[in-house]
Amino acid sequence: MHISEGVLSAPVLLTGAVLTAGGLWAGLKSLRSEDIPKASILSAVFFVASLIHVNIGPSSTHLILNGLIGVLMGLSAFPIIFLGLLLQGILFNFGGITTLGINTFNMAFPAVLFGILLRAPINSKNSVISTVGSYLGGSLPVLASGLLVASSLYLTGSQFLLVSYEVLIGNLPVVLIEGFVVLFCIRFLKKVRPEVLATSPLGQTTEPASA
Amino acid sequence: MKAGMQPIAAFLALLAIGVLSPLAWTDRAFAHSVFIFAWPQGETICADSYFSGRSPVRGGTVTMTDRTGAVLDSAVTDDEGSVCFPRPRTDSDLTFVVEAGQGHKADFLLRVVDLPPLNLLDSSASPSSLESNGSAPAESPETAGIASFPAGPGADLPKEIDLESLRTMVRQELSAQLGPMARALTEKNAQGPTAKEIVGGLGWLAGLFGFAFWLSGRNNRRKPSPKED
Repeated sequence: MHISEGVLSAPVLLTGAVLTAGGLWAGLKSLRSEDIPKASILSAVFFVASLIHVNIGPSSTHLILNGLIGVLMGLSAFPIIFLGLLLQGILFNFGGITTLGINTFNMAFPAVLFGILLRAPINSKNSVISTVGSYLGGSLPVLASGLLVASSLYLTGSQFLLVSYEVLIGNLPVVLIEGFVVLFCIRFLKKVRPEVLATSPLGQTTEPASA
Repeated sequence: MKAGMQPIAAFLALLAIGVLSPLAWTDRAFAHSVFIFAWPQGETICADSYFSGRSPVRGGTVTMTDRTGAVLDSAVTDDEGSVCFPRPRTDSDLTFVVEAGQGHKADFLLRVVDLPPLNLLDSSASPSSLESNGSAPAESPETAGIASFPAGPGADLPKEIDLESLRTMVRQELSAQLGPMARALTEKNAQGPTAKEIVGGLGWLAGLFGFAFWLSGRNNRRKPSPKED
């Protein structure tokens, strides 16, 4: 998922950087003071999640956990993932600095999108809907991130079908596993602090910022 | 509010610890940063490519280009992440680029001074003492070149060795001996993140969000003041 330096063309990098800048602005604006410690810990989780190596068959990839961040933090996923990727780039050499924008967008946008779309099913009182919603909240963002990575490479000249196939097959174990990770986390939070889920994603900013 | 945050913070902290503990300190801990290293080996040039954590790049495409960017050769890595090319008949720096799929790419520049000169390679084919070198391009670096030297003190040395042959022999022997060392250095570079870097990164995050918290607190304190005035 971490696209290296020197792979993508300048327009793709620039577009990614601009989209991420917008996401960062919106994400920081929506981040409430009381959510900062949660954001900090989620950023740390994202930072180290890439060290969990999933090795099934010939493919080897790592956890991403962008779905968990999207479900819990909504728009604030942008700054959280950005910081995680920045430190991974500087300290671990994963990805790169020029690709920081596009990598952030590829991972944060699906997180935000599905975090918002799946909020209602996740909070549903019907346990089946809630379970399915939670599982999809973990797996769909990884799948969508893979497609965005494939699109980024396609826009630079790679063959879309070939790259998509590679990315999808490579990340399939992660897609399946992250669904369970998020399902487990949400079930736990529902038991311990259900209000965290009800108030976290976008749209629940109770304090009117403009007033 | 503070009391309400405690179980969540504790849960997320546990999650972070759970994520860190089992794998982060072992060789299995790895993510996708790609490395490539190339070195001359006899009449071939071999390249090894790894992901960080020293996991070999299997089935990656390695392309060899000259100074002008013209593609000289291209091959797919084996299960060890290795690939060997015949020494191209050109006196140019060589660039090796590995594409490991999903946007993972790395390159390595092998300078012409590190390559055996073409004229020596051509002449090396004739002396009888060097025949075994040229015929074994796929030998491991540990054995390549050594086979040409008679073992033991009582073995017969070639009676006449001209300067060029001697130079070639020394070069090939050095290349064979230094190859594994250079390989080991690359493997060292390809190690995954160390505990220092991981803890350092977590410290940075704590510091940055602490700073954000302080900023947010300061802004919140400032906001009510105009109303009071």
